[in-house]
Amino acid sequence: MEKEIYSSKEVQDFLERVRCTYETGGIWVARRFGRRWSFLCGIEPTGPSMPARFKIDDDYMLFCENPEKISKKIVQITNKLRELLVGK
Amino acid sequence: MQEVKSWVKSRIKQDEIDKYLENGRDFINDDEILEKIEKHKSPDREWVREIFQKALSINTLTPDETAALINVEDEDLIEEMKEVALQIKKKVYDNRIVTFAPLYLGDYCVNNCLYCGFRSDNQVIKRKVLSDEEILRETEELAGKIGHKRLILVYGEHPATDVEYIAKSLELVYSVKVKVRNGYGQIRRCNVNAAPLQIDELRRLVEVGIGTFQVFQETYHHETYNLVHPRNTIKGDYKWRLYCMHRALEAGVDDVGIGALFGLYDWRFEVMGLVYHARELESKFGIGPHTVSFPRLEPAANTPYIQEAKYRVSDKDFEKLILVLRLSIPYTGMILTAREPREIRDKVIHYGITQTDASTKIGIGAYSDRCSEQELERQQFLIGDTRTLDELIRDLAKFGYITSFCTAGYRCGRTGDLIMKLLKTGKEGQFCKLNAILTFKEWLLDYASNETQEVGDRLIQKELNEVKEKMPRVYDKLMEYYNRIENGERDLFF
Repeated sequence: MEKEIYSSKEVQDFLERVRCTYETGGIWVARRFGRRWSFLCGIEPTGPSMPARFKIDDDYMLFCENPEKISKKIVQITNKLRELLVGK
Repeated sequence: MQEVKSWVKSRIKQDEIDKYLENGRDFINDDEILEKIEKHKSPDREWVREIFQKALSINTLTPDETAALINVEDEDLIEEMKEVALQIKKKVYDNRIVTFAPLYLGDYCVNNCLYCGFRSDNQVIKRKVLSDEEILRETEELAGKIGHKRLILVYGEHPATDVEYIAKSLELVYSVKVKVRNGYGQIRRCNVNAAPLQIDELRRLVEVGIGTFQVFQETYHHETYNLVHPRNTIKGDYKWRLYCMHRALEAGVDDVGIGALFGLYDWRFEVMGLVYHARELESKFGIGPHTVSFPRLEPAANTPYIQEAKYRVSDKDFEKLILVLRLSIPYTGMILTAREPREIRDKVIHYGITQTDASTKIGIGAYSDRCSEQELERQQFLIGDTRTLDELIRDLAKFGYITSFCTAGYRCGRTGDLIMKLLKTGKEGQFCKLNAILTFKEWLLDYASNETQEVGDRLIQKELNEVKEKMPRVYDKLMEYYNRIENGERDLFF
């Protein structure tokens, strides 16, 4: 029995690679439900900070603790996440 | 009438119980619980201290360990337990207390629980369900005049307050935005206390942004449960209720709140039941209860069962059960409500409480009516502490607790598995501290009396100094947000 949320190993592995490559610290994907952003998968933040938000699509958002080094690659990263999450 | 009967018949989905059972049995074994309480009658002091250390490491205790703590009678050890409880709370949540208000939306109920003022055969209760306009009016009062940011919406089990009504009311509450002194008032998190729902219904509530879904088992003791909840009612099905959090987590609700109504059966058994429940959720879903509640039976209109109840919990035992719960499920939020009188609340708040309510009114429509008297025919029970939010905040500040209106976690994906990890590693406490400062400042600017503002600003200065010393990396960012809030911006958070 599993909680019925998206927790693809592929997404988790991809976020791990992004974290290592771009030293993002905590990086995670959340899904929108009304006002709520609900955790799907990813790596927890290392300490308190206001996470940067990158829109994946209307339902999904990427949250990132240290976004400095991924900013230039963010389009490719969110495109890849969209592909993994919603298949397009 | 026929419609209500057929609605009742459609409520329980047996397959949404059976799928969770192991060998056809639920996870509460009454005999095993009673044996463990008996077996650990005189726990060894050294073992008790080892249990304290385990709890301090934010590990859920085993039922045997909880049974040992329940049986601690040594006053010195109980004093130590109080210190441990406070340390755990500080480690997981820092020194913040979250405040909320209950909002009762309807008191029609198809059940007939012996201890409840809202039971269906209680003729003295004035029944009402809030209309859309009334929900908006109540919310405007709560968010605009009082300054709450977080509500628990409470519903009876009845087709008039079915899941569509619940979903609509959540949307209505979230839609309210009221201009206040320096900013705007808005409810940022709606929790729901309702009857057990079906998986598809819970998905509906996820879609509209439910906060915590809260259902209390009332009593975990099977025989007592069957005694106080007539078999021919929905609530008479013990397992339908017991597994509602399994269904909630399966449906994608991230945060679930469990509880027991203390006084229906032996408090020791109920504490064990709550621990078994937490461990069951952890083992099946990797997520324990976001909150635990431990209300005591209170007088209700035309409800003689309460006066005759033989397991009513004394103040001394109430204190102890809070301590044992705090240590047994160390990561969880602990909710102390205004059911309790002020002197009890002021005492046990130091035992690791994380959430409490204020300016509480539990009559249907009572906030916008601005009625100051309690009307037993309009409410489920009598509340014991009628302090306003302003008064409570001032009192908490005098104790050194900062009131937090933080609802940040669920608006940036720090929920479910993620928040569990952060709570268990003590990292969430850092977020709590920063967001408490920011939201408290907002509240002081927008709602506080002069007296509370003074006390609050002194506390904030102390908190800012602590952040500067202990979290220098984020101090500048915190001050940037703080100054922006002073200049009129709202809802900034970490």
